[in-house]
Amino acid sequence: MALTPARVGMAYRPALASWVGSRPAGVECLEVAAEGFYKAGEKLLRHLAERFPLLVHSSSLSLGTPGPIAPQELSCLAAVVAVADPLWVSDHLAFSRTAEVDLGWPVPVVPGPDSLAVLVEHARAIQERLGRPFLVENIAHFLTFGVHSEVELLNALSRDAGSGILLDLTALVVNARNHGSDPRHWLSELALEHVVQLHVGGCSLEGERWHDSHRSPVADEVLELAAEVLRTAPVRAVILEYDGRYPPRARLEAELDRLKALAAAAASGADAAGGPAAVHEPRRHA
Amino acid sequence: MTGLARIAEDACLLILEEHGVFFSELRQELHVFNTAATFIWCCLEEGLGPSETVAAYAETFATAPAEAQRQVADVLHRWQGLGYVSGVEIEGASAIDLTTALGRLLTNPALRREHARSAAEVARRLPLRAADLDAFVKLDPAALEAQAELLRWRQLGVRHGDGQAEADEPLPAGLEQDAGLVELAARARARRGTPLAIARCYSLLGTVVRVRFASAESAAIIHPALAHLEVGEAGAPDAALDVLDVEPGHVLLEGIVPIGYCAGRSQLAPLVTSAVRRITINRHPYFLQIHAGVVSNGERCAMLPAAPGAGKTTVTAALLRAGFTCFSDEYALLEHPDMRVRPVPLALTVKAGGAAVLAARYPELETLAVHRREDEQLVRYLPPPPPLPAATSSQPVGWLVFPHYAPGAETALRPIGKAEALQRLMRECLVLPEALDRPGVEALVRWMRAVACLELTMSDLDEAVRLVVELCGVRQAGAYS
Repeated sequence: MALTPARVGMAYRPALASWVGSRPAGVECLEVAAEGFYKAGEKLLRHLAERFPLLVHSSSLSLGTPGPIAPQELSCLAAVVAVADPLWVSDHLAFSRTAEVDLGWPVPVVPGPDSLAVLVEHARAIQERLGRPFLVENIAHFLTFGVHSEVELLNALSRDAGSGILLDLTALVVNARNHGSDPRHWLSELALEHVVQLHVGGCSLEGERWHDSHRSPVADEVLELAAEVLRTAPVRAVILEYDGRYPPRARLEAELDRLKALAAAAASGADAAGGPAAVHEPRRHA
Repeated sequence: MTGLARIAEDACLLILEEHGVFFSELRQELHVFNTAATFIWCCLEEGLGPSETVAAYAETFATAPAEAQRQVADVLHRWQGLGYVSGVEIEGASAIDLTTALGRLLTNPALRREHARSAAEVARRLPLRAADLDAFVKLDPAALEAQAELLRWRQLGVRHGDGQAEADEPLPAGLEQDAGLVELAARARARRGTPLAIARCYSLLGTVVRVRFASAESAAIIHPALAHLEVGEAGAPDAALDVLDVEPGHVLLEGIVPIGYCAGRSQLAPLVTSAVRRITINRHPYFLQIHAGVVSNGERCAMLPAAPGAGKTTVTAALLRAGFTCFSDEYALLEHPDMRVRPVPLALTVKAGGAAVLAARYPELETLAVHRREDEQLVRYLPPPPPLPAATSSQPVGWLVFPHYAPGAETALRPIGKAEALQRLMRECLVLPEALDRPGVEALVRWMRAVACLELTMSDLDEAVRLVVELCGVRQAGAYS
């Protein structure tokens, strides 16, 4: 029995509207940024939901901030989810607010027992409120942690909260390049059975540091890692991220086709190898 | 508490009613302080020491000395951690968690420098929870600097509206070949081999944009949305747009640079009008760009800032029929230093719901073409009733009215506090073209002090118009000169 390959899709951006509207064959699902629909856009969201399976990606829940999640943020997200009817919802392994300041951008959570407790509480609350599976994504950052590791934190969070993992392979590669570490070692420690979705996108060297800028084709190193993860993890969707410098349609669709080929090869390869582990369904928290 | 608090050189507090507007130029932070925090800051500005501040606080707010001590210490402790002040020794302050400490490190350069010298000493002084000490001291100072730099860069990009600057070029859709906009444009030119026969010039904010159309069909679709801005072709235009027909769809060129594409005719007018708006606004210096309708009573303007869906366009259109003059439907430009508002009288973008409500006031709405915006909204472009204000004119804002459509609610205008109004206004700020500086913030606060601030809750459009007319007065229909 062959596995169903992971869906391949695109992170929706307004500049892609015309192209997405043409129903490109390579797009099997769309990931929408929740905040883009907080103030307006319900009609567009409904339109997209009628045409594609949607995934909702949030950047403003500030999962790592101790205390309850901001009710306003959760309400706005719930309203988007109600319209989008997504397969799942995701946000970052990060905080963007503290009790004192709004940082306006995700900052990595320092791994440890206390931060784990905060994240678990929040992931459970989100799943309860939204009634959807919830994934947590690793982010690109410059910080180094001396005590506990990020991968330990992701694993423990998945185990304790029943959330899934959105594995951003570009962020992983960018961090590895900046920190001089080995992304495969990081992956070898990750509980791959919890990985539900992949993010892939372009990265760039600015000054002395790598950034996940999403303004260029996906690097070969990222694609190689994607192929490896697709073979070993129950990934259900691979999302290509672009945030500008969009290539012509044919080149963009060729990137999507390449991802589809990786997903298909992984599915058939798993079959040839005697069958993979059961496809992971993120738990809906009771 | 001991020591004399020193206020950071880049920080200041400006009084707005009973609140304080805090501004840090270095960090580009603008906050509203409550009355208690404002009082404490004023004590520091006057050079009061901690004990004098506590005593003054206790007396002013009728608070027990111990409670006053706790509250003042709590505020100073927080400000010191954030780098707003320095120099105070605070005993017995509550320990903070690692997330809060990291937030302070990433936003406070002085604290990062101290952390680099002695993380343990910073942890003691914060004070940090003991459980977090190990992780805190292991944070690499160079990595912290890099992360703070990334954060500052991202924040500036978002606040200044250029975070997606390079995302504006849309991806061509519906094409068979691997063709970019440049190639498409070149092919269209080569195939046609004839000049773009139809040309019209439109003037907005003193900038004349010439638009050339490859076909009469394209001109017939686009021109009605811009016709009220048309000027004669006198001399060289400031900017030039060409609308090329390709197969399938249309490419928009600015000069020789392809800047947009749409697949269908229904998307043409939104594509071109937004290009005209962007070109003209980008050529005009301004202080803040606010998402707001603006109408004039002939002498002063009422600005109506609101998020999409609040009924802003509907009430703006209704006010224009009541005799106000159109300054803006969506994009209000406030100018430095007096915060006068400049007219941007683009056609009003009326959505389906608004068209039904406005049908009696604008029977012509029914006959206007329906266009499809990028966000899939179907809209009609309603030219504002004449006369239009001169492009070179500007007017002071007399009223800030925040409209809010609330079905079933009583239609009412109620005054709101200036601090709340400032916060609401900044939530609707679309673009800050330059970093804020102290003179700019002082001008903004000075302006807020002089402007009447109200919230318009509305379910009945007639009543909403009556209330605004009563508030602002209007000389008579078309009275603008």
